[in-house]
Amino acid sequence: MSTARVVRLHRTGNTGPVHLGDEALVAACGVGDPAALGALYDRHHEAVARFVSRLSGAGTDDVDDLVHDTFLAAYSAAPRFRGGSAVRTWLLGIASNVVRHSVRSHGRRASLANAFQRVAPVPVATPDEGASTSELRAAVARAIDALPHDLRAVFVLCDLEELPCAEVAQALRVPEGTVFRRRHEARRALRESLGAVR
Amino acid sequence: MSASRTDCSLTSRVLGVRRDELSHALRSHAAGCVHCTRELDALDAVIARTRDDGSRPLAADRSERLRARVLESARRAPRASPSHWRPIAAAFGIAAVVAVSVSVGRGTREEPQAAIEPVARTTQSIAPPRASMHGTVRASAGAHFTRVSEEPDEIVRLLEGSITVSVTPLGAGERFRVIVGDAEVEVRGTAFDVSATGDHLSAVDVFHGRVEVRVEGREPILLEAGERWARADEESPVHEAIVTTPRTRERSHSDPTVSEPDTLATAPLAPAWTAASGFEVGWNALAAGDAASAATAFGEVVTRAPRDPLAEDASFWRGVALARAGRSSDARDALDAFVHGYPSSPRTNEAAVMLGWLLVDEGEIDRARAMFTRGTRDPSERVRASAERGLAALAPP
Repeated sequence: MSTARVVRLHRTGNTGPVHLGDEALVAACGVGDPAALGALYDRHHEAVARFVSRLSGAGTDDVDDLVHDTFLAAYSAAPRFRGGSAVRTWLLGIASNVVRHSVRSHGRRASLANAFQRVAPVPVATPDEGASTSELRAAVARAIDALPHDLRAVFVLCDLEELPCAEVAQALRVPEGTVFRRRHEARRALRESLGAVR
Repeated sequence: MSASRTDCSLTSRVLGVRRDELSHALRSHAAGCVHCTRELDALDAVIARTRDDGSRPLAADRSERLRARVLESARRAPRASPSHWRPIAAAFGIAAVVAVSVSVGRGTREEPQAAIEPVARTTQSIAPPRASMHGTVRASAGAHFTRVSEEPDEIVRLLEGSITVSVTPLGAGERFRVIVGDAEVEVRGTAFDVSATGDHLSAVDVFHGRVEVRVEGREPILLEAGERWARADEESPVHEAIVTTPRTRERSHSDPTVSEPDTLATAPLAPAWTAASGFEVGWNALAAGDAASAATAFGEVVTRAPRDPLAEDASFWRGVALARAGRSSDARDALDAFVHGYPSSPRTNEAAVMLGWLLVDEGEIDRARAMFTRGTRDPSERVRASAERGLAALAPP
């Protein structure tokens, strides 16, 4: 076991600290240990939140809902986890399905352009520079928003989360070649729509 | 700016591709080509922009609120049967030597035992009980384990290191188990040692009482005092780990009789060929309109890595590439091989329809009709439409 993946499972209470890797935490979730779910959350919720935000373009409240649904789905799916991919990749695959389901069943996805409005501005050197940054982000958000969900999911996982194609294929349960194709199509579409971005 | 407006005939082959994904030959070209360099830089800029979305880490209070909400929902959620969990644990494959010592105490039910706590290993005193569990677990330094369920079916999952467990007498319907990756050892009012290698059970020695040993894929074994169960040498998980290393897998897929493409054979410091890199070369060539090169690259994946998951896709796209290259006879053979080689592939019906059109051109009407008929069952409207057009074309006037 890699010591780099060791975490403190029980944060409070009578029990002492127990150190487990990601896979062991999922196994513990599989037999109904909420403390293990808490440890998984502590380690991965930032990545899941960033991913669902990028994928859905949702605002704060909806992102929280999607993160909540993702970890709850992971808790239910934990008994079926087979270790075919890293736990974080597995979680992001679940998150992708949660976002897709959310879009289909509730029509909840706001456009990324709207989501951009809710993002806190990054400190900039000058007002002009700030305006330029805002315009660029809006253009990028619109371009990503225009991608179909499947292309957007692969692009976010491969190019933004920088996961290997093989892992993305396992997480999304599609052939690796399909990941290559979707990534290529997504990049070309973004390149076309953001050709002037520098 | 149009992405395809260039003065270099090769620039179209780098569209949508990052530098480190290019074939060695194309990367060498791009290094000296202003047009290809501009395109590669533009894609890097696009990706950099998309990463810079202004998102911030969640605020601590928001994160804590969300955490509490997740855990509260989890506590209310119905759980699946714990019996699902053994194969999950078996997938860990942790390379470590594990030794477990489990002893059964004779304490009374009025003295509930402590919760699990990793401490320095000792054979003497047991710390005072602190929780309403049957088992008190002591671990040597560095041990990795957790209690994954409480009574009436208490489970301790041991990943690495050594633990000593003291268990009070169990009541009717109550269980206490220690689980390693591929086996579990259940208390039957006794004391015993358990050893594991690489998260696989390797031996059990019973000192007194009885122990039931359940190894995945085998009948349970009940051991009496003085008996020992040990895994045979040829079943050693270490041996299994050796034969499944990635290096060995890669070697088993390689065919030394297949020569490297010229571009790789003559290029210095060429990266090692893999099914993924070969597929990427084929895909990029096909996307760039170079169908002949794509067919060669996909064919190489099929030939050199027939058991790789990418071989299925490569087989399909080889047929497509050959058809686009105008090599109808070869395309027919390739698609025929795909349809028969991967009958359950999501692309089989699509390949059948493409094969049908090639068969029409060659006058094989009956086979073409069979292929089109197959395509009418495809979930894709596009494939079904093509199949229907094919059947309509074959219908007598």
